[in-house]
Amino acid sequence: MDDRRLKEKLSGRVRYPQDVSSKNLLHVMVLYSTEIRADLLGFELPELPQDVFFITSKDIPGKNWLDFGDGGMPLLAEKEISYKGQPLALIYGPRLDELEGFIDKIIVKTETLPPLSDLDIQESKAISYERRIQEGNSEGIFQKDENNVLEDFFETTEQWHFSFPAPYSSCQKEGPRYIIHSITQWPWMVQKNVCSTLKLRKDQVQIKTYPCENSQDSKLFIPIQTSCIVALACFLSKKTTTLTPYPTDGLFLSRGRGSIQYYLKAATNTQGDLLALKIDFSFDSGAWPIWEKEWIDKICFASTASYHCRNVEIHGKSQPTNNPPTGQFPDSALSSVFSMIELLMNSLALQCKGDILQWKKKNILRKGNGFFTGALLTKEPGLDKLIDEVVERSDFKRKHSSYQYQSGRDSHHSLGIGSRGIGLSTAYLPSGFLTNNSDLYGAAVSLKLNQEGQLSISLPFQPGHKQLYKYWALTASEMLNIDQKQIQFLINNQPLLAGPGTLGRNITVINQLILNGLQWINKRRFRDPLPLEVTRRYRKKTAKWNDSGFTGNPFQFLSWGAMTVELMTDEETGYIDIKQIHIALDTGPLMIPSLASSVVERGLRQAHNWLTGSFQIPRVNFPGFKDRIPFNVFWQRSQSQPRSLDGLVQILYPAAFLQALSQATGQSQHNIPPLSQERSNL
Amino acid sequence: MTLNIQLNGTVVELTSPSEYRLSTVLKDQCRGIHLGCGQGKCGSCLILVDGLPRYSCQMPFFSAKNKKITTIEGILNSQEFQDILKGFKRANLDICDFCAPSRVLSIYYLLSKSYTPDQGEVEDVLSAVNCSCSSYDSLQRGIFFSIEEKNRRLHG
Repeated sequence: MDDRRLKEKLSGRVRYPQDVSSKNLLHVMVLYSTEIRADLLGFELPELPQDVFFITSKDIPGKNWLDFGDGGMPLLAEKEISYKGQPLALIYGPRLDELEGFIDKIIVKTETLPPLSDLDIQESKAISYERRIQEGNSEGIFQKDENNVLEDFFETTEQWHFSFPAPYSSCQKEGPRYIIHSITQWPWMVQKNVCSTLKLRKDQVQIKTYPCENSQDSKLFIPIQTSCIVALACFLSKKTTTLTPYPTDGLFLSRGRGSIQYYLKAATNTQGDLLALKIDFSFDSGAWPIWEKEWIDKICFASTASYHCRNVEIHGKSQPTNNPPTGQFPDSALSSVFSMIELLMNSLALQCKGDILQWKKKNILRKGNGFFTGALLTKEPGLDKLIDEVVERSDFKRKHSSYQYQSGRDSHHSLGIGSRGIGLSTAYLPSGFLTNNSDLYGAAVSLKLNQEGQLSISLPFQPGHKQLYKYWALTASEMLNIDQKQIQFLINNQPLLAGPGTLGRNITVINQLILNGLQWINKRRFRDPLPLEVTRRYRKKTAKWNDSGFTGNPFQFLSWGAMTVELMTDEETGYIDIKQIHIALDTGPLMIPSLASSVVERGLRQAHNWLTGSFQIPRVNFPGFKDRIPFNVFWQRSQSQPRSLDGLVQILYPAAFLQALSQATGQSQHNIPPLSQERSNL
Repeated sequence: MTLNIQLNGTVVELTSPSEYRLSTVLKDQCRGIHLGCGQGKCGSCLILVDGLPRYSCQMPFFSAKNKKITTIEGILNSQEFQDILKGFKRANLDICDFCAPSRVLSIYYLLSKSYTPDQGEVEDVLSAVNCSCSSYDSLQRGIFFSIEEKNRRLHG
């Protein structure tokens, strides 16, 4: 990084939407629902000065609907409130302190309705998406007496993460155009929604993007909402508007990951081969299902985790509730399903009275055996090597034997001493989407080399980290032998270049598209006249995936990983001390090595927050942010192209952590976060 | 409520409701303050109050009375800022634009002490800003290089 840029960064001169100022700046505040479910009857307002305005869904000139490609939600509630925290109305004016006073005095007239109950859900009144898959004959295998069969219930609760910078927005009116200042990775989707909300043409709305920093996927949903809010206020007032940060608005949190309940059943033969798996799960998609098909299908695809099993029976359903709409994460729901399958497999291996390590190695995915969808692994995924790495580096073998010894001593936990545990997990992370919705799966990159030798690269999104621009500029400079200063990046606002290739996992896809485009230009640059222009698209119609039959291989790239977590619980204080985490990852060549380690650390921290954040046992003190989680990473680079990294650690950590906790406490874990009754012996 | 505050070495008169968050009041004066969680968790509104790091979102406006407040703008001409700049460059540290001012201010606090800080103090300072844009190891390296730069400047 050059000195000027570093100085600008460190001295806080980089601007954000919050810094947009104007003489007539209006602050916008959102009135949120405090009810879970109710009929919205109206509002009782205090006397407002002339320069303070209150707007509801009736004031929206266009559609009161935010479209996220697959699913959506209203910008402001109309007749019914469907979750706590739903935006009901906006208030805007020049003085923030006045607004805060007024917003507290607004009375929302409602008629409370009972929230959607478990009974409603059980009666299938509210299933919004469902998938049933049957491969092989799992039922027949479960019924054979000689097989080991194990069944269990598991649950993962909703997940929230801190996400900085919070995606606040501002809007300026310049002549006939509206300039939206937004921290978004998905500018054309913001533009599309603002146009639809305000009934404007695309040329009337310009999106100015700001650094997104971490590739948290909350940058997909929330900026669309906040941008439409400020744009609406700007449209009605004709003045510059800014959405004012407010501690309770929760915008610094990512959209929650919905809770999932599982019923799992698995069978092995007497030799310990995994023969059949049954998985029945229900996913809480919140009040407004967004991308639920993607969630459900991805869980279905990953329902055998990193194990080989051809007899599967899967039933997954998505159910709307009165919780906030579910967001999207780099790993979607994979951290949940992988964790639960790993816990079941762990129990199954113990039931087989074999060595857990050998059992895992016997049943993991290998070259040639592939997934239950029929997709074969044509290359060796190398999970063996990854497992060996973490096992050798950790205390797994010794601990495992001592655990067996320890588990035979029933009286151990009554002695009041701390105990240790170690868990092992394996996982893979796919790039891309399963869905056929063109707004979601598509990603395209355009490159143009003009007569002056300048190269422009149009991306469909804003990368989470600026170092990626530097990486691609360096790559293009080396391939085409042009100066890096002659390379510029454009964020394309046209839906022609669909997203969200915006997500961290899809960086690898975009990277490949850029490389393909550069290679194309390199071949023709001395043969064809300039300018040369090329567009490269991901996921053509010929993709080998049958969505309706759920067969084939939907993913171009897979990255692989293994992890051990060693921890110790102190029975006196309830403190859980993470002793060491060993991670082995095969993500191909690292695009930006310095960034990779921070992605791993962030992944661990986010996953740890999930395991501990909503923890309800006051006497158990998990390590907080201040306590570093000690970890070592071994990078295996057997693959030739960069693979997804963001999200892989989040999948690996919960499974290994819960196994370790099970060992340490002597109680098998079935939930994330662990429930209090299961921890009562601590 | 009107208060005279010594902001970055200059006495300024600020008017705001007394219970208002200091971060919001100062935001108009100092663009380096970012408004984050508003709960004292993220650290993006970190300032120095009488030389000590404080989250300004957790301070009501009235509590700034007779205080000496330093923000990132107030340290840009200091030697310590140059030390941090050099230290970060040596460590090839690329933190995010959002947390950078608060991170630098917290490290400035560390460097402005007369002695060489130990590992524990470095970790304390790192924990002041809760942003996960960079790994702890790389941040720590940046801090230790900054300390080295300071010592080199002072002692040759």
